[in-house]
Amino acid sequence: MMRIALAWIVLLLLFLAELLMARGRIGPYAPLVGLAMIAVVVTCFMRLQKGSPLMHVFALAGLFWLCLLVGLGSVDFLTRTDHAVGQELAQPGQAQP
Amino acid sequence: MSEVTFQYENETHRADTAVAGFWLFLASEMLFFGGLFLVWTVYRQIHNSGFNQASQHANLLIGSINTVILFTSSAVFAAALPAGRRGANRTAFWLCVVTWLLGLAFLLLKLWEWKTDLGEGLFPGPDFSITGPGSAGAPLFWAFYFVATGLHGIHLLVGLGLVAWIALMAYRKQLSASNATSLEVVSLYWAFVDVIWLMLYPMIYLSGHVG
Repeated sequence: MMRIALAWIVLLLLFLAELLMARGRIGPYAPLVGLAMIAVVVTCFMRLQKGSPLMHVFALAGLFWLCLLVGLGSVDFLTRTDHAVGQELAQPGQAQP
Repeated sequence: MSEVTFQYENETHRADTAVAGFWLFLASEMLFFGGLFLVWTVYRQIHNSGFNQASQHANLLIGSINTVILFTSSAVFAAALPAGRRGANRTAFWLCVVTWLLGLAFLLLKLWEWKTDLGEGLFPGPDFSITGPGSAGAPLFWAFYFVATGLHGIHLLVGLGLVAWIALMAYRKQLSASNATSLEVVSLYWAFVDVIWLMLYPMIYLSGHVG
């Protein structure tokens, strides 16, 4: 029970940190605090570290395929470089024939 | 000792198998929501300005209150597991009731938030209210919002039914050291619904407020 109460306090502090970070200059890193909150929930409330080896295989497989899905699916869009184009190309409907 | 079917060596083996099987289900759920996270990542990259504008219209106060409500409910339900395992059915019952009420509060707040969102013309369509320069992609953000929070809400509704079932078991004094697998599996589900919300919260409510 003490461990759960402690985890709740940590979650509350992390949540406040996430809110403050989102408002400040280090805002882009706020989602990392969100990931830390998820780690607390998974370890303290879902007891990931206890349990059978088969359970660990399934949990890690889920995480692996999720990383593969989001990673491979977004890598192209996240690494593209957009080059500026002229006014006519930017508004093709108004381009001169 | 309760009856153990032939494919299990003992009750611990049966409980471990049930929990492992449930993690397999949760892995499929991760990929189910993963598609949504991928869509958000890609479209935010393409329509950065529109997504930021759209996110600023999300109700940060209700979203934040709901976040605290949900991780508090996860903590309360996690405390019900040791109570159920030691046969403290009365304690487990009241922890289930508190969890259920917190879940209901989340859903009611979410419904109120949807009502105000719809009133502000944030549903994508001809009457969509976010217009002007740099707003391209805002309707996509709000389409994501309604789909993602709707799917999360359905999962939470299922969770409320499961928590009510466990509360009924505790009320009938059916929870014990050898009969707590159902409680363990439902606590995993409830915490997973919380995990999904912890992913959605910064995507929806914080991304437009980054300084």
